[in-house]
Amino acid sequence: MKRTLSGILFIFLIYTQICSQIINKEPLSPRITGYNIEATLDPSEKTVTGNMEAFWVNTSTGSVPDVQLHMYMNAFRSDKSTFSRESRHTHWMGNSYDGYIDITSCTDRQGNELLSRLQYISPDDGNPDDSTVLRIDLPEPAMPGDTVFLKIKFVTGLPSEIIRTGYSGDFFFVAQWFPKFGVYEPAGMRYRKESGWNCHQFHANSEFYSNHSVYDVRITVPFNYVVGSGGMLIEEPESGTDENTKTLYYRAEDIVDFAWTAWPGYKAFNDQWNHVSITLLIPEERTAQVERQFKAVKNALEFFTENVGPFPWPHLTFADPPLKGAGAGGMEYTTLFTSGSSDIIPEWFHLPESVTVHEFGHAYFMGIMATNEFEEPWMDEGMNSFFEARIMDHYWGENSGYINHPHLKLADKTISRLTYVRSGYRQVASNDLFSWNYPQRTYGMMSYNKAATWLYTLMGIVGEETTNDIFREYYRLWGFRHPSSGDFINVVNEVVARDHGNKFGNNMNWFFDQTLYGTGVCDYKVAEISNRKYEDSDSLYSSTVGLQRTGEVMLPLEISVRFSDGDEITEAWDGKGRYMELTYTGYRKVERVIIDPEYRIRMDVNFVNNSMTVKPDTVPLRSFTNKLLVLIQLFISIFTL
Amino acid sequence: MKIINALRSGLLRSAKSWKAALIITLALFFIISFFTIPFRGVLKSSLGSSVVTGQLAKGINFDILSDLSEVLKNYIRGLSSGLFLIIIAGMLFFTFFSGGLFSHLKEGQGRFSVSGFFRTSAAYFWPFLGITLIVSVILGFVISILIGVVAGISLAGETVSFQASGILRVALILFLAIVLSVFFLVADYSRAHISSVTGTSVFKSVGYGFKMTFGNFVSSVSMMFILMMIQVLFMWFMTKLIFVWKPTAGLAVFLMLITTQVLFFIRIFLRSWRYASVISMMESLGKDNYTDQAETGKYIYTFENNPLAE
Repeated sequence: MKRTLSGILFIFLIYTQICSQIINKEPLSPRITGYNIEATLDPSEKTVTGNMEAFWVNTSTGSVPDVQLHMYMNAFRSDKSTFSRESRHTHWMGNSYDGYIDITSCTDRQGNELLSRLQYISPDDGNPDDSTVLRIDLPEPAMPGDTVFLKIKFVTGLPSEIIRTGYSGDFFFVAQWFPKFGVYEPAGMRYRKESGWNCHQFHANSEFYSNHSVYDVRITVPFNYVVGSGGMLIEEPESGTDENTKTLYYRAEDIVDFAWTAWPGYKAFNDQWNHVSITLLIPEERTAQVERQFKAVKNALEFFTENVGPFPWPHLTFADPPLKGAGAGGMEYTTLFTSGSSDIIPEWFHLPESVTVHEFGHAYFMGIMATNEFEEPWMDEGMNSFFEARIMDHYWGENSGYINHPHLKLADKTISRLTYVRSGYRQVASNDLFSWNYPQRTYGMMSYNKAATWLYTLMGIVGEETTNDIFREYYRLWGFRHPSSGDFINVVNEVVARDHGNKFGNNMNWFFDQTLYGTGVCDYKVAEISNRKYEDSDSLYSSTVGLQRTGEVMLPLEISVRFSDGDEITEAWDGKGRYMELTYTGYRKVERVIIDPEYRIRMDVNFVNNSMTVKPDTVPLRSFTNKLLVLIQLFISIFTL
Repeated sequence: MKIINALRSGLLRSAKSWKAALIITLALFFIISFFTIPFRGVLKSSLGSSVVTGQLAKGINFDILSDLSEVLKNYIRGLSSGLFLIIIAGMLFFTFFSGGLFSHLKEGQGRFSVSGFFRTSAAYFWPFLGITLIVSVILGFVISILIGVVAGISLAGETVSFQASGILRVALILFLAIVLSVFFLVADYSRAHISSVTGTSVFKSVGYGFKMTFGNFVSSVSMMFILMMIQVLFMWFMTKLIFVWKPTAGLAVFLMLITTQVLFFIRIFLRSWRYASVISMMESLGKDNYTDQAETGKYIYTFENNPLAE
């Protein structure tokens, strides 16, 4: 009876949580999962002890016999975990594998102990030594509409080497720290033919995939610690079990992950952008960076709001970790993200702004459009890198978003393009692989850079306004859902048809077939300019321009042709043939030809051969080599005593 | 007063030796042209008739430069080795000519003679190279320790207050300036010594360089600090001009070449002023020292009676 009563009370509390609205007036997401966690940080033991109540709702039309949970922290348990094995190639790992998560108690709504029903599985690689996915066989299958309740007590040992999560001295970044439900995908969702759990192991090269959830989290830390989290602080700190600790109550609604950080050295700054209250946690040595950081995040908020959709939460926290916690920098947890900077960074070097804009952007491409980063990482990192580059160019100067020095300018989009086009492995895989399946360490190049580059190319073809329309529609249709690549392509097809009719064909699938699903490169060149004078005329010319497609990718292009009388015309080429000839007859010669003069086709791997002139300008070369000469002279004179 | 006298005397002596600065400028110009002229040819043939050179003229364009490097990748290995060799050769030439320069900047030298300049350059090449290597190795060691200190302070950034870390950084920059001044002085005193006293070894000269530097620390370092500041400001101006100047016509390119070479000549002239000032300082400070050496059977040589210059 007592057990039944406590079960009813538990259900009541959980339903209260589902239905209650503290932050927004209406729920933003279906709230298939929810968590109520009491967490205590032990700074000396480097552990977090948790008491968690969680629920999952079966929204499918069939019964489900089990639930699956991520136990990410077990990736750091041994050198045999899948993460550790894969990390040997990409991360420096210390000798100590000291991270872990242990469940000490697990009961269902009736109070039945479920410990004997726990089983670690390895759905991705069958690695028997990996314990990052936990399956719990339910005593009774969850029927459609049923809610599965779990009460779990756990202890998380934080790893001493911070790779996104962990500790360094008295600095703590606590992420991927609690047992977390995978996503149960009903048949028809994304690529699902049959319903099932989508719960991948923790890999070196992958991020996350989760349901939008409600989090009520009470964090107990030593009194002198400054805490930041993805939640909104609901109750001011109160004393914990003793005078030396305090407990902070955070609430987060409709976010996909809950992380937090604690460190006595943080200094907190607050600012406001429209409805969003922004908190920045930063080491005291970096107070000079505060204004830059706030400007960056406010610019990002403005750009995303105008060109994608509104930021739906009234709170946002970001942290700039100290040097010893740098491994936690540059990560995203929707309403909490980490930037990356150092004590002194010149004004013209926009690294902190770039990181802040990028990590904030994940609130959209992972937080709101909750894509599956395990399976389609480009949908988060690629789209976000594309927007990062656009924002940096928009607010910090066209083509100088990353570096804006009087003598040196560098754009984020250039970094993306060069990382892709200069990679020797740019053709070893298509852009649609699972994150850990990219060969030759191409995960980053493909997910971030190639995707951003072809998204820029898409914008070059359909135009900036249509691109913004696409992302607004994507937000409207897929916000607080789980879109796939196919869903995004459908949005592109719909919006492009609406804005341009059939100018680009029946749909844009031809573009994605070559860029997202293809491995070809794009390279167009001007092969020749020929001006032949007619024999029977003094000034009548037959001019020929030869254009060549040397790559596999076929994209529509603009060709700029300038004549000797100064006249300039623009020709269009569908870019499909291997060779195209333009011929002109008249009393003028062709003087100069440029393929894609505005550099819209940023996938083109070689801009040098995109143009040709009959009167090459040698002045820049001579000027360049003269400068090189005197610079070498200076170098020698400086380094000789 | 001692410093002003040394600087004034140094300026006069270097003005008398302007031909030496011109020879060094021209020599480096021709040596480096062995690299830059073929490099321009390679660039020209690789770019073909592309109009991207216009993009380069506007400033550094990483998209274009990177694509160009792809076109040039077959040449780049050869070019980078060539550039390395040219820099080494240039440094050796510079060391070679500094022998002639030091010899001619001494007190009581007559009119500048090109043949005499080359003769003394050749005569002092090996000892000067030895001094350069010894001082460079010690300087490199000290600078790497300084870098270690800077890195340590950065890593301890969370425990040191912002103000304290700022003060430490300024202190480090000042310390670096003093270290550089000290080692320039050691090198210059050593070379001045070896070009003045026959029969002395490289190591003895380096020892003399340290002795003179630390024996007259305040006046020597202050003088060197002033000279270094002037040189740094001049080079700042020069590099600024190089980056800002974007000629658009052939004549302007030629004008730029002439101007930059004139500026480099002034740069060498300033270096010669440094050498001459150190020699003047040594001559005014080290008379007793010379006398001691003269009494022990060693002699102070002027250019005219220097047997190495015969």
